[in-house]
Amino acid sequence: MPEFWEFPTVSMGIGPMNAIYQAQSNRYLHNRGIKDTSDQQVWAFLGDGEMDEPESRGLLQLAANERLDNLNFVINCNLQRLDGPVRGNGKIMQELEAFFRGAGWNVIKVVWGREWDELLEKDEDGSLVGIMNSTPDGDYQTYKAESGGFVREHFFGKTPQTKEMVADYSDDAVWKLKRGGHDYRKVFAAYKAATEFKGKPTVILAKTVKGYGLGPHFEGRNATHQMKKLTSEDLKAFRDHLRIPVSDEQIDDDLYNAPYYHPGADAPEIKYLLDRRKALGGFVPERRNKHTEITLPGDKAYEVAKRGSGKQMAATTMAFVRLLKDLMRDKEFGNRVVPIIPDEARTFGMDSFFPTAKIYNPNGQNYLSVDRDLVLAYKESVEGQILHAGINEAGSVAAFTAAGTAYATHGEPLIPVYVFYSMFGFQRTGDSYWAAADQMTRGFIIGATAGRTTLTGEGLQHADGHSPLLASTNPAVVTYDPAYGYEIGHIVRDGLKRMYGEGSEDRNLMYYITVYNEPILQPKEPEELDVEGILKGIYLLSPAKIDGARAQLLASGVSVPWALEAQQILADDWGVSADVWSVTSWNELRRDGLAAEEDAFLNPSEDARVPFITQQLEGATGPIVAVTDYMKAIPDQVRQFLPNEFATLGADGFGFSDTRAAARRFFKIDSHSVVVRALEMLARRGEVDAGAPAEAIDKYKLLDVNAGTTGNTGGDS
Amino acid sequence: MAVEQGGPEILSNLAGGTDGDPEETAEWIESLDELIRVQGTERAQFIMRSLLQRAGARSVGVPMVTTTDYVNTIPVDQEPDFPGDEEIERKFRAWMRWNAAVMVHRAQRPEIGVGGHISTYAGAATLYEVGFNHFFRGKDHPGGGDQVFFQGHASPGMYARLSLRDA
Repeated sequence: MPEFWEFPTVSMGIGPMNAIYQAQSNRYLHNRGIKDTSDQQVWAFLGDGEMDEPESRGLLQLAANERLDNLNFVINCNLQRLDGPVRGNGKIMQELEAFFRGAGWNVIKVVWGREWDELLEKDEDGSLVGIMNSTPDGDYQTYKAESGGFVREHFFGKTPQTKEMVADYSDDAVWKLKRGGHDYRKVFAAYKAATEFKGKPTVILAKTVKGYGLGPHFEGRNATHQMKKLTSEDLKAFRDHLRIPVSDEQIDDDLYNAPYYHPGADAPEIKYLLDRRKALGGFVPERRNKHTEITLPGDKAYEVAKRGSGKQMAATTMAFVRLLKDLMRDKEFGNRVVPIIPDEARTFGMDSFFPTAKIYNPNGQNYLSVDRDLVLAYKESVEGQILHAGINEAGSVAAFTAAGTAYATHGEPLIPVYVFYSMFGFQRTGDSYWAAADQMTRGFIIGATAGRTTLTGEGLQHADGHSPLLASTNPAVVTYDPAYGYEIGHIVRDGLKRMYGEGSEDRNLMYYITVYNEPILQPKEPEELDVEGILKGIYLLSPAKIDGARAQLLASGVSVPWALEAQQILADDWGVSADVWSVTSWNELRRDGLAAEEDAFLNPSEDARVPFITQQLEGATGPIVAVTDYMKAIPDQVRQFLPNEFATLGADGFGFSDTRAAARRFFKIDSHSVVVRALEMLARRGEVDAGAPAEAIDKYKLLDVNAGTTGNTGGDS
Repeated sequence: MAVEQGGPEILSNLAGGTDGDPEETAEWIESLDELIRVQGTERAQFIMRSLLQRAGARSVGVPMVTTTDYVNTIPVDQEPDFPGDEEIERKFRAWMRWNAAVMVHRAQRPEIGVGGHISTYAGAATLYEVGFNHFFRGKDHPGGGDQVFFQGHASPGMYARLSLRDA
């Protein structure tokens, strides 16, 4: 329902995070002069059980620090989660009150309905409040699954004073002492206070009964969340309780077809309902897709990306950051870019953005910065463009989601560019990306310091050998693993066109691009570049330069230079003629191949479409060696679309703490491993000498980890 | 309800603000000092805790006190008048609760069996309805409208509202 739900956040804990960052994003748009959001509020309806997710409580401080008084949490405290009580022995409302207040929030509790007002008025010695304070939630839950008589005995009966208070109440009157969350007046008072409160976000803790009004089989029962079927008796009792004009026969005729109720469009109640919505500005929820059209950057912004790095070495991270800088300089487009960083800007060379773009802080910069005299000083500003989330990937994805949906939420497209350690992306926050996709978020996700052997020396928990595979599970994510700056330029340009360009169809994409920290020589863009190949996932980078036994080398990202070296060694030492292909996206090639298979499957009478990779490699003879700094499963995705013999070299396993060269030798993915693997396949076909593979293993000391030479030692981490 | 200005307590000192009557403040502090001197720290601690508790009960926002009594934060005499017609609102809330429960119930027909939750919305209907009838602003509101994150488990209630609105 893309025109109805705006914020589909069903996975517990994601709603609270995203609501906080939505409130931040509203202020960000306002402070940067993109849109006046001063009269907009964010409401998040949450469960008390949901507050046990660390995501639910872990970002509260941001809302307090940024004084997000445009944010209201309403926590439905029904004291129950799926299996049982949230805090049987304790009091979840008191715990949350302390927690939120400690985090700097304004707290409003709505515990009791109006029926209690009179009793509390009479409670001069505090006996009633004393019982209220000391009764655990487990008991409160049980009361509501029992009866008025039970409440009289077990609650009011605790002291003579309280027992006396309800002496002239009937059991029914005791039963009807309601909880605050079911009382219009009490809830209204709380919402009004919340929306008028200045300087802090507000949380409303409203006490309710789960399954309220559904009768004794549902109210307050432990299994109530899972109970979906109503018996004939339940339905009739519920009908009576709600005074619905439906007859017994209508229920009993076909139990599973119990009728809905509508009084007709002219009923005064329906008129009232519609009038209220009209007065408040239309229906909620509603999602609108229309937005300001933006002019995308022209050729100029991509010029530097085509130039290469000359004699200097540069990592693809640097190439990307340089491109981003040029995009942000674009006069019409640049201010819509939202760089999001969880505290690694310096590693990525993005500290160069600090003095000009500045770091967003609604409180400005109220201290003397230690590096104020430096060119790259740390500058915070109310108008800052960079969202610096701190060491906080969960919050960063929430910020990404808010910015990446501003096109719909506010009709103002923003282009979030979230740059982070690739290991802490899909693995750590995969659920949030899934929710982002559901919310139709658009933007760039840049997995830096990618690869299993490229960021060595920080332990196996930093060594990303699988994020593209995890990314492939999200249908909205388009994954690229480019080798060079010019490839990045074309990919980003196409991404902007697809996500934000006028008339583009299917814009609801997120571009995941992996970049590396290893400095390499960045070639300038070749004259006759196969741009379509880059965008679809594979192009011929370096055709074989000699005649001889044929082999095909497929590589992606940081492994492309290894394949080029292997091509040279194969030619020089073994007379083998190998082509080198840069695979910019294994994932997109697979999706295209699967789509072609699906076409063929459902249209057996038509000529089957040939997958793109099969077309590209038509006529590319000889065995294929695919090499990657990721696990083997990533290149293996395209195996079924190629008729050639196919071998994969990849970095399966946890990682290896040593130099890059040693790690690549350890995983047998280095240049010499590619050479030996190609020889082995050619020998089996009788195209090179049968002894060549063994000879090569000896010659290159392939089994000696310390003999590896693939890769250098530079780069930030 | 007192309106608090300024940042979170963790960034301010306990007293904060300006002292409107330093002489009176000094007398209070003197009394406390005397209490500690005569009766000892244990007694002083008890008195202080009691005063803090009382302050909470009287809606005096005191920093560093993290919980208040298990009663409504807004005292009865500070409740605003409810601006709606409660009877009418209750009436169509009942219809929504019925339609929401029936919707999930119908989906349990053995050959359909698609799941859904009844109890969450049943218990939260008032929390949503007060919002819908009095607070949540739509996209045509001059301010641009509010952003509301609904609980997924309560979605049958939103569809029930849709059923009343569109039929």
